[in-house]
Amino acid sequence: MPDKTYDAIVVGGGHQGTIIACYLQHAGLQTVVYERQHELGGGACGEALPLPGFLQNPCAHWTRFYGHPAYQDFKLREKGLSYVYPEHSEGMIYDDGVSFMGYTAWNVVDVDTGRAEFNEKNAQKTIDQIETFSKKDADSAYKLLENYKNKWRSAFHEWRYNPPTPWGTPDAFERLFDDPDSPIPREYQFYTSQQVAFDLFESDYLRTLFMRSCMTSSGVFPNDAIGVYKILHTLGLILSWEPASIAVGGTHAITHALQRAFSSMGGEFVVETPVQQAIIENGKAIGVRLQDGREIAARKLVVSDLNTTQTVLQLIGSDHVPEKIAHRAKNMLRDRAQLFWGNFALHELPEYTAAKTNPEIGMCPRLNWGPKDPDYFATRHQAELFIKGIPDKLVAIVAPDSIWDWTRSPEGKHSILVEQFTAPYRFFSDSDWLRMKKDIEKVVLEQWSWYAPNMTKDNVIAAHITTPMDVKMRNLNMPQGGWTGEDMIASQMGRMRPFPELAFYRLPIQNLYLASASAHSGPGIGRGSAYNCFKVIAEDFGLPKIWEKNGRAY
Amino acid sequence: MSNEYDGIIIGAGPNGLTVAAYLAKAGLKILVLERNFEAGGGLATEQVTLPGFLHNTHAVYMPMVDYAPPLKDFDDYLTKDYDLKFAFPQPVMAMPFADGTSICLYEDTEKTCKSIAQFSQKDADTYRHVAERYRELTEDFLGPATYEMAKPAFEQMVTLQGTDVGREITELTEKTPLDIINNLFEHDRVRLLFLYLSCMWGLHYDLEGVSYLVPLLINRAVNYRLVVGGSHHLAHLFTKVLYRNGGMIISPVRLKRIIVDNGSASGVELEDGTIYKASKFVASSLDPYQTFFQYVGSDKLEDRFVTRLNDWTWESSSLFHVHMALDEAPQFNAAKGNPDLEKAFIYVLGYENQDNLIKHYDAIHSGQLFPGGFNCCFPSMHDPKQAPAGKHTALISLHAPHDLEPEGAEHWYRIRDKEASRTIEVLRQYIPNLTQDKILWSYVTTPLDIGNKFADMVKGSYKQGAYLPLQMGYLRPNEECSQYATPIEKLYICGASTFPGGLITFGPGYNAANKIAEDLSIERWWTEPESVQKAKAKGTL
Repeated sequence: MPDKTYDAIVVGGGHQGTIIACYLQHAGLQTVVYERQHELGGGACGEALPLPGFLQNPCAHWTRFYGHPAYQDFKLREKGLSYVYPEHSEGMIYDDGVSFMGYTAWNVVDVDTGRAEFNEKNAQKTIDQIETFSKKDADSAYKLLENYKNKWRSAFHEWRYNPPTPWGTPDAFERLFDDPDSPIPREYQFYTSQQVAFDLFESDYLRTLFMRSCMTSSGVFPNDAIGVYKILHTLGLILSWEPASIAVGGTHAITHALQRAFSSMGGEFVVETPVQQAIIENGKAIGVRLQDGREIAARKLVVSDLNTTQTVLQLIGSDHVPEKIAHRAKNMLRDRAQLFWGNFALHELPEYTAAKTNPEIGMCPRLNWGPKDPDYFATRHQAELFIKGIPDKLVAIVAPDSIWDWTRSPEGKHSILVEQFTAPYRFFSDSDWLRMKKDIEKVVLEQWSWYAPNMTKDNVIAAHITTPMDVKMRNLNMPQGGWTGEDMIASQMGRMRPFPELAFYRLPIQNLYLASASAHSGPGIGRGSAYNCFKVIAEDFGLPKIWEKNGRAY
Repeated sequence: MSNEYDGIIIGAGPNGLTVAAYLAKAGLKILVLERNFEAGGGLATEQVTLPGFLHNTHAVYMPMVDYAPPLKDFDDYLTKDYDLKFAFPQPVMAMPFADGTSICLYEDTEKTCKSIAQFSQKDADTYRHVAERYRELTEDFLGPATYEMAKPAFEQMVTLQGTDVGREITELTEKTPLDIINNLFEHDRVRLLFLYLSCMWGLHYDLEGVSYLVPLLINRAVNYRLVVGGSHHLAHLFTKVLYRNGGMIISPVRLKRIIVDNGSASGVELEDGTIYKASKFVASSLDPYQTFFQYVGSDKLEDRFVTRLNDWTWESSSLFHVHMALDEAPQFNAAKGNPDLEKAFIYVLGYENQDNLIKHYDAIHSGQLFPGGFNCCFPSMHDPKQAPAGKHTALISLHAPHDLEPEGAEHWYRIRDKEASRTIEVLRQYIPNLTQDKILWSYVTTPLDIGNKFADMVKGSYKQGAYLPLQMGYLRPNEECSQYATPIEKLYICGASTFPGGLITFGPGYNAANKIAEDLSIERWWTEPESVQKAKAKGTL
């Protein structure tokens, strides 16, 4: 006799777990979520750091969840999720004093639905900024924008919010390889980040920014093949096509809104309760065993929000899967997207020297600073990360969220996030990471002051920087401390995520599904894995197809 | 449509959630609005040092678990459907001294007496009597009275005069905590411990008029419990009860005003312009300043009421906390002579004599830092869920002023780390293995931070306002709204600034829920607490 019975069990209440729970419950399945941690959300978490009264996102920070179908499907704005959409978007200050800042091209005009409209004036302002250092790059940016406007933008969303197509069936991007209006260069499937940067831009300014931004949004290194999806995503950031939106209350607000939607539909979630393994009978998942020994039955299905290795080797167990799948699950690559990441609580905002020529630069919600040196970034910077943890020259990004979000700091004070790349967790000992956790504060402050002289010790109330050690301690699905859990290199994306045998959400055990970021479309808040997984489940169980309603695109 | 509710509650702390849960289960459509991104108010548990270490960043010691009606009324959810558990470590209290001796307080009075007898047989005998008598005072009056409307002073006096228990409470009330303790005990160390226990929630040692709290606090000293999974888990389960009963919580939101039309509350407006309508009531768990001045507006209040509100006094003593992630369990020096010491829940240390404690309190009231002692605990020793295997959490909790003289409250930003180091240094004298390399990370919260973090704890007033004779009982926050209704129709107050006051008692929320249910003629699905029924039968309540 099971201790409890539900229609559907979601193992892991991370970001994608909370999304699929809503869809399953909405489809009429009595659903439960079991989460190991004391809060739901996984990477969509928040803490009162570096001190009370301030708020930090210790994992995911930049989000655009208003673009996810769940935002409208579950009326999340009414559930307390609201975004602020600054006019300013991505920017960078270089070590030669030059600076660049983009203005949001697709402004959100309806906060309830997240609907955005193209803003010609802002798009032109971004191109004008590029023109100050390169006419040729300004022309390229213009052409890219036109392509994005024509077909790339809708292809991007189609790709993200649909299951991958099988081999041989062109996906949303592959269909554009021979498109006469907005062609995507076929070879970009195999290009590294560095190759794309050098192919698209002539200035060191945009080349550096492209590679840096690709690394922040996808965790991939300049010498990784990144795939078309990440190329478009990165261009959308550095050319400010999409807004640098800010979730009021931080990333955890997304989790709260999803949980409220789930709870108010009658869903049940249980925290501080780890799942031991799936209960499998005759090749079918019929429930789960909790670590405390209780058995929970699933009338219909079990969904994993764990990573590939955990799902295959722990939840299912290698005895239940073909040897090749167990072997591949052991060998997932996870050596990218490791960061120093955290907030400085400040008395006053940084005053950048670059503001003399670019007065609004300090208002940039995604402001990078570092050397204008694509070669350094593509080579030595990466080597230094692996050897020393902290490189000689930081190539950082900062986010002064307290300008727009009142929840981030007490009135009159400020909270700014800083991000700098580092090495996988296993490269250093715990005591090394604890030392670097302190050291990086000093290094950041020193180098920040090169760009903003008021960034002195006196201006800092406190700082708290998380390291890959913190990340892996918080999220067991991120064992090397990288936020992607499993790398987003081109060969682990799309119909190859996590690897071809498991790429379509169905697992080798019947009634068991993979909804986590380990499936297409990968890690990051608002990505489509749970939504796409639900589509597959709905097909298998004959549930209502919410995505076919009201003529919606996906 | 979706913005219309029967009742709106401002603040998702323990009291706000209590009102919400009772009335939602009674069938009302309830909305709770919260400023912080997480519900629970002082029931906060956060991973603020290193992940995997759960730190109870505000309330830790649960004083009224054995009395609080919501824990019984919602028991079907909390412990049967869900997993609410309390740890009750023994000894509950321990006071180690620099010479390696210690006093321990247990639920078992005889064990406590034995511990006290090390210092004074007479005090041990006194404690035997006092523990029994204060248990009676608590059972017959102080405990149940927490969950019953406060009575007007005269009526209260008449009732109290009718019984032995009542007369003794009246007598005690008129003394100062210092007088009570020093009349009872002879040994300075015993006096020190019991004065600390009496004043650990901000009661002034030399104040007459509120010392009915002394027997309660001395009784509670052997009753504090720890929430398994962290304090926030208790709030978390209440939010689940609320959702199960159709309620909703929205956070983080900033309130702009409580909408009052023709002297009657009809909803609230947020800073972003969102309006939520309440057809039956609005209940605020904030302090009277914010509820009435900031959100209702003095133009909607009678002058006399405004004058009375202006009398409200914040607390002069707040808290300074240091949370630590430890690489190994603490080993006390004093455990050599008393192995029980390492099992204790709450340690009070850093004081060697009562004079030292009194000097500390005097310094606080004049806005000065003082190299005083503090209480501390190691929650993961009693609940392994709160730290990774083999590692431990630690908390130092020091009384400190919000406004520092002469530099002001902002000075805390400059001295926070230095003060944290000083307290850790003190702790290290008792726990020599607390070396720097064993402290993996620490997190400091100052009185200034408390005010910044919790909207209702102005100037670090974690009870929303001082415990003074004119701010207690029927006068909390004032005679016009101590019964939870206010001069504004349909507007209620339900926070720590109402009777019975602060700490995690659920008292204000429980009583306010009763009052609202009565005013709305709602049939109660819950019954009067057994302890209240018994006290009434004895004529003490």
